[in-house]
This record gives sequence, structure tokens and C-alpha cells, in this order.
Amino acid sequence: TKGQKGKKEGGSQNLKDDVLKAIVLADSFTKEFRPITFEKPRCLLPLVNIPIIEYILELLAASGVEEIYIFCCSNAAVIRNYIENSKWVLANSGVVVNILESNTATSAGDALRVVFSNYIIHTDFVLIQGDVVSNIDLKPIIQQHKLERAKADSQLLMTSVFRTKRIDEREHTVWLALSQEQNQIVLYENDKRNTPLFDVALDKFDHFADLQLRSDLVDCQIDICSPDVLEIFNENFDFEDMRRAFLKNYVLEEEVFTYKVAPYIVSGAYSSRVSSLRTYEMISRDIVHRWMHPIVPDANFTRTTNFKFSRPNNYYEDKVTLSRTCEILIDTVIGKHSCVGEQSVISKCIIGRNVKIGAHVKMNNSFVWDNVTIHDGVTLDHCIVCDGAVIGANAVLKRGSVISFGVHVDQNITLEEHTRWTTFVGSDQDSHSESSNIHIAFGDDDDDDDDDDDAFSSDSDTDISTPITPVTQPPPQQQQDQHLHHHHHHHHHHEKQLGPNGKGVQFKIPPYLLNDRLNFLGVQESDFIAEQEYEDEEEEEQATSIKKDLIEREQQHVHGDQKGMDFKKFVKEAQETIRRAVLSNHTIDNTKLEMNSLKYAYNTSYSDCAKAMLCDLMLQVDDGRRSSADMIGAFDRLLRGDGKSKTGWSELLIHFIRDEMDEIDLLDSLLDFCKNEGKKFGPLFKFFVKKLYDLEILQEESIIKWYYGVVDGGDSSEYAANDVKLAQQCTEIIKWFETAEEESGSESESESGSESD
Amino acid sequence: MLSDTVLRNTINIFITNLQRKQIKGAYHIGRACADIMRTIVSSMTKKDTVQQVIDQCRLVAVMLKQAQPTMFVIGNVVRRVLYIIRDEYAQSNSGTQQTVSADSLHQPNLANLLEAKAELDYTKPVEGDFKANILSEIKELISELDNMNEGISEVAIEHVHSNEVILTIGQSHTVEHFLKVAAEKKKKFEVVVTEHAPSYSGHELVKSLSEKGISATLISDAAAFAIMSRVNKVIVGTHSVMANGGLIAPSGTHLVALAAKKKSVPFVVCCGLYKLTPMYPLDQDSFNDLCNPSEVIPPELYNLKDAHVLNPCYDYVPPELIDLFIMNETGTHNPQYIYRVLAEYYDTRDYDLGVYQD
Repeated sequence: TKGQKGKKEGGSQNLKDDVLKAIVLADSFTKEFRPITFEKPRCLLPLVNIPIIEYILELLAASGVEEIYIFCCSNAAVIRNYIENSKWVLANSGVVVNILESNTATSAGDALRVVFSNYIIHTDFVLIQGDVVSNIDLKPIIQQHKLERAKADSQLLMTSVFRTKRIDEREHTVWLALSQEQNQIVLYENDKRNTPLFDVALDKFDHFADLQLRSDLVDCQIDICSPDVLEIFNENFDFEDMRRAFLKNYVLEEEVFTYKVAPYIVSGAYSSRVSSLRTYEMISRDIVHRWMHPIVPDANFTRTTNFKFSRPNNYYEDKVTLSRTCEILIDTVIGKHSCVGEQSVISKCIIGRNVKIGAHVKMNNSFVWDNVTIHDGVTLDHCIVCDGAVIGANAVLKRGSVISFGVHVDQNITLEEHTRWTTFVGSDQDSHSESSNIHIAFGDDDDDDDDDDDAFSSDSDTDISTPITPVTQPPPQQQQDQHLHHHHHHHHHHEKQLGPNGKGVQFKIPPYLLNDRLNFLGVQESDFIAEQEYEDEEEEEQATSIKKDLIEREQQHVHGDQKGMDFKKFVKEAQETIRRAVLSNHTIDNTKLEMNSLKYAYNTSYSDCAKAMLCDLMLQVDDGRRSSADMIGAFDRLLRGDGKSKTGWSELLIHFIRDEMDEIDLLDSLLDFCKNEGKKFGPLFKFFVKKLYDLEILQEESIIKWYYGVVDGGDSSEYAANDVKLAQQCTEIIKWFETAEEESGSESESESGSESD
Repeated sequence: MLSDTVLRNTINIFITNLQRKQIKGAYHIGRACADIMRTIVSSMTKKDTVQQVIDQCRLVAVMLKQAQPTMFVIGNVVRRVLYIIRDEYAQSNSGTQQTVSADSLHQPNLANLLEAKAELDYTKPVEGDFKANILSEIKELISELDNMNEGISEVAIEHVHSNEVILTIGQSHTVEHFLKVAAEKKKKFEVVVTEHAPSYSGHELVKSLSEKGISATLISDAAAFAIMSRVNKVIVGTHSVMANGGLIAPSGTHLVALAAKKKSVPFVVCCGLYKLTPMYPLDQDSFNDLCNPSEVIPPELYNLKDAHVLNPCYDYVPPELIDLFIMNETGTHNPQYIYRVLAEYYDTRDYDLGVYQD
């Protein structure tokens, strides 16, 4: 009954104030685990056969926390039910676990305000995200926090836990400026797009004799807070999250340091967050490799399992039946009552309870939850198969497949890479299990996702998807009355896709997930390297097959209109980026980085970027007062820079122009631009072309090619008459090119020197 | 007995601490275990039979062992207590001087197999000052644990000679005490300590010895063989002594034992009697434990992806590599004599405490 104490009874608990308390923010509202999280909250998903929440409770309990409040918004009933049936309600668990529920809370800030209004906490407390998996001992951290707080007129508000980044880590990194001497965080940045740009105000140096800038840290999302934090949140009802609103914009923005946030940097301990499928995979592997010691599978810390270690590095519970000829290679965990058939080969898999695996099955790096049946001859590679799913004989699940609860895959079916399947149907699925309508993340470093979410909010109704065949795909604007029809399509298609006896439909992976490969299973480090090369060496061919597939699939998914809208958004964002860059005079490298990230976010080409940038640079030239000649001059200065403080943007354009086709595209868009801005830019078209040539952005050959393409297009030409008219402005330039070529062709090299002047 | 919630809580907290590895060291665990046994016995009522007490103790032992299967001292302390109970009951019941150990010492032969033995009836409620007697014996057991190092060090003077070079592995509190006692007796000797990666407990020992004025040298683990020709005696501690006289000892011990054998250097093991375990080390898996790989390489430096990092806790050292055991209570023995010591302190019926059922 201890678990039932809701918020009403919370008030009666403040008698024991010296008890160490913790708040777990169980909802995170992130969508990385969809469609799995439609049916089960993330904190209850099994991680090496134990629900994620258990790891958090164990971490807190082992660190001496005696009262834990799990704060949930949408899944309170399910989580409460789980806790009530766990060991935590036993009198001797040493910990009282309460569920705090609020239907109106939409952010970490709201959660803290609810806690404040319930008068639950009056002393220092631990605040932790609901997806942290860690073996850090918080005791010394809490102690240090308390010692510091006990000092006279201590300004310490919070101690945040950081740890040194692993070499292969890509998630949750932060950039910090901190003073070791005063044990204080001075600047905090976790938005990838603002880094590594880091403004350090000069007065900070007056305050702090030693200022360290660190980019090798990971934010563990574990904070030791003083009760003042609650008050501040209560006073500032618009604060949403701990990191951006509170830490970055409130505490650290102050001119005078009224408050202080101390960093605590741990090393040698393990801490990670189950924030995406990739991290799920990594953390599972790390647990099996015993990095979470003493929380290892055979420690059976929940006392609900009884794993035993077995060589070379496998863990079996009791009553596991392994056929004589099956091979369990390494790093495999198998739960109670599961059986493996003859000749099956299993490597690096986490297998739940009551799983029936047939003969000749090949499985590697996969996660199979409870009560799954896998028939003979199935191949699984980097998959997640949720509770109750059935995989028919000889089916092949390629890398990254996600089979959600109760899906049946018929025999002989092959599922493509990185597809996700679910039986959960209904356009109102959002409100069912994840309140994504109210959108905000507890996880503060999911910043990028937040913005992406906003950008894609229009398609939230169509998240779940419709089968991929583009021809029959209903338009995204489909409304309620068409719903039945919509549903019919599902039926129609899953038969095709999962076989005649199959059950389930394909989940349309939202674009913001598709674009970030950190969200996929089985993504190798080499894929990242490949991506890097792709960026650096401009070799399209080197992009991995995954990327191509994803892009293709995405293109199939995204409806035409949608795509057009995305592109408009892209242009808008790109222009804003450039405007910002020009105004605050960013460096080429940073802007390049920003543009690259936009390019990936919207899946556009290099020439699209170049076009968007050029148009914006030209818009900037026109301040409404300049004469034509001034405008050309301004354009020249903008592109060239002054060689010192002012950045020359031509280099950026050059970076995004890859080949002749790009140059021709660029000329086309320049033409369009000048046409649309007819009065001012129309007459100047040729001057712009000349400037771009002078700055070596455009090559002579491509200008010639483009020119003849427009002018001699004939009847089938895609260019309108006024296009041709504008293009004819360049006739002079073309003539000049041609004569220059003849000259250089007939005369000796000495001429080429003068040409370059 | 186990219905007592205070006791249940104590046991539960102890199990949790074992699982979280928040209670460390064989001595502390053995000591806590003895305290729990004492509580169980003292919560006996007049209605309880001896069999019930024995069953309770065994049940608790199994629960505790489940939390840390390689912590053999838990089972050993419980076996000692069970022996005390059985012995006391046999004495109070039959009035004869035949003790349980007498049975177990006899090798089975046709005569005593055929002879109908009168099994003691354990199902009768306890009477008289039986409980008080057991409690006072358990108290003695606890004080034996507390004074274990002193007991072992009594013979230090006989084993450490002047100007000897003694090698030890890492830091064993028993060995540390042993060496310090020898030094107090005005012996002049030199100690070589292997650092014992990845715990590096050897560093501590060197510091502590040199503070006491004992000349100490720290070497890397890998240098043990090279220095062995200069060493007169190896003195080590152990995690457990098995029924065959072999050791389950901190990893690295086997290596040193082999080196000592090669150079014919006497290999002496100092340990408390409670480390004597009536089990045979039949398989490697259940007699070893893999520790935290972060001790070998911190996770933030680990970039080997699929490569494993192993940090095994223990080595098995076969009895033929060991020359002498120095224990409290029972004195010094050869590994061949261990079975005899076992029979003296444990009842054969308690060798197997049973397995955990949930």
C-alpha cells in the first residue's frame, strides 16, 4: 500500500525531514521508441530482462535515498501497477516509493511545481531523469553538496553530475565553462547548433580566476537540488526544463551570481541514458559486459530473476532448455522457461522468458522480449521483438527491424532494414499512451528533437502509418470521416506485407527520427565514419547503403505536398541562418556546420543549400536605399570580406557547389530571383553573374553551357520568354569568354598570366 | 523465528548490502553472519524443535549465499553454528560423550555401515539451558573471529626468521598483522610486496609496513617470478581454503605459487579458520566471480567496442603448490591434513546447505 500514496497523502509525510528524497521524472515524451512506447511506457521496457525503472530505483536506493517520488503524467496507472507488484512495496525494501501523478503537467518545471505545492520536500533532494542507467555512488556527491550548503551564506543551489565522455559517445554531450577553484558552473550549453560557438562575457573572467572550457563531458541528468530550486520554479511558472530554462537562462544568465550550481565530475563509473534504440543497444551490451558492476545480470538485484554466469559470457536463468546441437556463442542472456531448437546459432542476444526458438534459427545482436515464438529457420539481425510476437518460419528480419507487441510475421517474409511494425492502430494513438499533444521534453538535451518536433508537428496525426506503397497512400490531411476507409487500407496492406497470416502494420517512422541515425539499431561506428567521409570528401558513392535506403524510403513516405512544405521550411531556416551569420559575423566553418546540419535535417542537396544562401546574400545587399552600383559593390564586399575581421562568404558558396550541375542550378535560381525581384535586380543580372565568375564560384564552362541551354532551348525549352531575355544580358560575357579562349588557344602561356589578373 | 519482522529486516538489509557489494571483506561478512545466527538462536522459543532451528539457519544461509555465491565464509560460519547446535544437543540428550564429530572422522567401513546407528531425534522441543549453552558457544565463536589475527600471529616468530626476504601478494590484513607481530619480536626481515593490480592494495601494505619500520619493497605483479630467486618465503592470505587443501585466492596467487614451486621457495598461507570450506573446487564458473571491468580500464577510456574486459576475482591454487597453512585455533597444517580439520569443526550433514528455491 505504500506505493499508492498519491499526491493527496504526500503532505502528511513531511514529518521526517531528514530523510533523503528523490524525484524521478518518468515521462520524457520522446518518440524514439515508437511504436513500442504506444503500448508500454519507456521506463517499463525491459533492459536485459529487467524494467528500466528498476535500475533507477536501485541506483537511488543504493545511494541511501529513502523516499522516492516517481512523477508521471500519462502512464501513472501502469507504472503504479508495476510498483505495487514489485519488491519496493515490501516493508524491508528500505525505500518508500510513491507515485506522483499530474494530468496537467507538461514539463519538468510543472513536475517540480506540483512537488512544491504538495509540501513533500523541504531538504536537499535528488532529481533524476527516468531513463538514467548508472552505477555512480551518489553518497559522496550528496555529502559534498550538503557540506557546501552548510557553509554560511552558501549560494549553492544545485550540484549537477557529469562524467567524462567515452570515445565512441555521440549522445548527451555538453559544453561547460567551469571554475574549479570556486566549484561552479559558469556556462552551460547542450544545444548542438549553438556549439562550439561559445560566448564568454569578459566580466566572467573578473569573477573567476580559473575558467575551464570543457567539451569532454556528458550530462548524467542527475542533480542534487536544494529546496530553493522548487521555490524558484514555483515563482517562475513559465520555466519548463532544468537545463535550458533554469540553468542556462536563469541561473547562469544573471549578471551577479546570486546562485551557484556546482559540477561534480565522476570518472570510472558508468552512466548512460536509454534515450534511443542505439543507446538501448549500447547499454544492454555494456550491462552484459559487466560495466554496471555490481549491477550485473547474475547479481539478480531485483530478486525476481536468477541468472547465472556461464562461459564465455552468457547468462541463463533456471529451466532454460537448450537443444544439444544449438550454439549459444557469446554475450547472450536467456530467461526462464525459454528454449532453443536444434542447430540454432545465437550470438549477443538478450532473450526474455518463455521464448520458443525453433531449429536452424540464426540470431545476432537482437532483443527478444517475453513470450515470443520464433519458428524454424528465422534470421534476426539487430532486431527488437516485443512481448507476444510471432515470427513465422524462414522469415528474415533485416538489421534494425522493430517488431512491436503481438505482431505476427508470416512465414517466408522478409522485412527490410530499419522498418518498424506494430498492431497498435488508431489515429488517436498519441493521446492514448503518450501525451504527445502536449509536447515538451523532460530530457533537456533532446533540444534538437524538440525543434524537429515542432517542425513536423503537422504530421503528428499520420505518425502511424500507412503502408508504404505510395500510390495508395491517403493524403495526410485525411480527416475523421475517412478514418474507416483508412483503416481498411491497413488491413489490405498488412496482408501483403506480413503475409496472409500476419498481423500488424508498418509504422511510419517520423522524418526527424529517420534523419538521425543515432535512433537506429545496429548502426556501427563505421557508419558514422562513412558519413564523415561523405561530408568531407564529397563522395556520394561512399554514403552507406543504410543512408541511401533511408532516404529512398523517406522519399516514399513523404507526400509530395509535405515535401514541398519541408523545402520551404528549409529555405526559410537556411536564410535565417545566413542572415544571423552575416549579422554576427560568424566564421565560415561554423556556418558551414550549421548549413550541413540543416541539409541533413531536411534531406536536401548541396545545390539547394547553395541556392538558398545565394538568394539570401542577395537580399541582404538590398537595404532599400542603395543604388544599383552600390548594390553590386555591397555584394562584392559581402562575398570577399575584408580579409580580416569581416568574413567573406564566397568560400561558403564554393563549399556547397560540387559540380557543373550545381553551378547551372545556381544560375537558374539566380535567374529566378532576379526575375521575381524584377525592378531592382533584373537589370543587374549580368553583374551578379560576372561577380560570381570573378570570385571563382562559377566556372567559365558552366556559364557557357547554361547560357546556351537557356537561349537555344527551342520550343521544348523549360525557360519562359522573359527568362531568355534576362539570360541574354550575359551575351557579352559569353562573347568575352569565347574570345579569351580563342586568344589563349592561339597564343602562348604568357597570356594566361595576364588573364588571371 | 523468521516470522520476527526485525530479524527478517536485518537479514534483508544484509542481503541487499551483499548484492550491492556495500559490505566488503570476508571478516566483516562472516562477523555479520555470525550475528544473524545468534539472533536466530536467541529468538528460539520453548516450542521450537532443534530441527526447526537447524532448518532456519540453513534457509538463511542459502538466502545469503544467493546474494554472493562466492562468499564462502557465509556458509562456513553457518556450518560452525550448526555444528555447535548439533554437538550441544547430542551432549544434552544422550549424556554419552559420543559427539557428532566422532561419526564423521571414521572412514566408512562395512562394520559401521551395517551397524544400526541410533540417529538423534531432532524433532523434540529444546529443554533446559540448551539455548543458553548454544548462545555462549556462539559468543565464543564470535570472539574467535574477532581475535583471529592475534591467534594466527602467535606463531609468527616461528615462521619469520632474521634477515629473511618474504614475498606477499597485495594487502591481506591477516598477513599484515602476522608480519608486524614478527617485527615487534625484534626480528629483522625484508618484505617484497606485489602491487596486486587492479586493486593495487599492495601500495597500502607497503606504506603501512614501512611506517612500522619494516623494510618493504613494492614490485609489479609481473616481476614476481624474477624476484623469486631472492625470496626465502612466500606468505599470502586467501579468500577460502577448499576441502582438498587447495585455495580460492585473489587472482595472481596461482602465478606466485608456481614461481615459488619452481624456485623451491616455501609457500605459506595465513588465514582464519572460518575460511575453511568443505567444498571441492570442481568447476571454474561457480568458484569465480568477475569484478568490475572499470577497475581494469575506466569506461571513458574503453573504446574496444565488442572486445571484452575481464577482471576475475579469484585464482584456484592446487594443494600441491602449498606447503603450510597457519590458522587460528587449530595451528599449522599441511594441505593433506585439511580434511581432518574439516571433520573437527563441521558436521558432514551440513557440508551441503541446499540450494535456493524461490
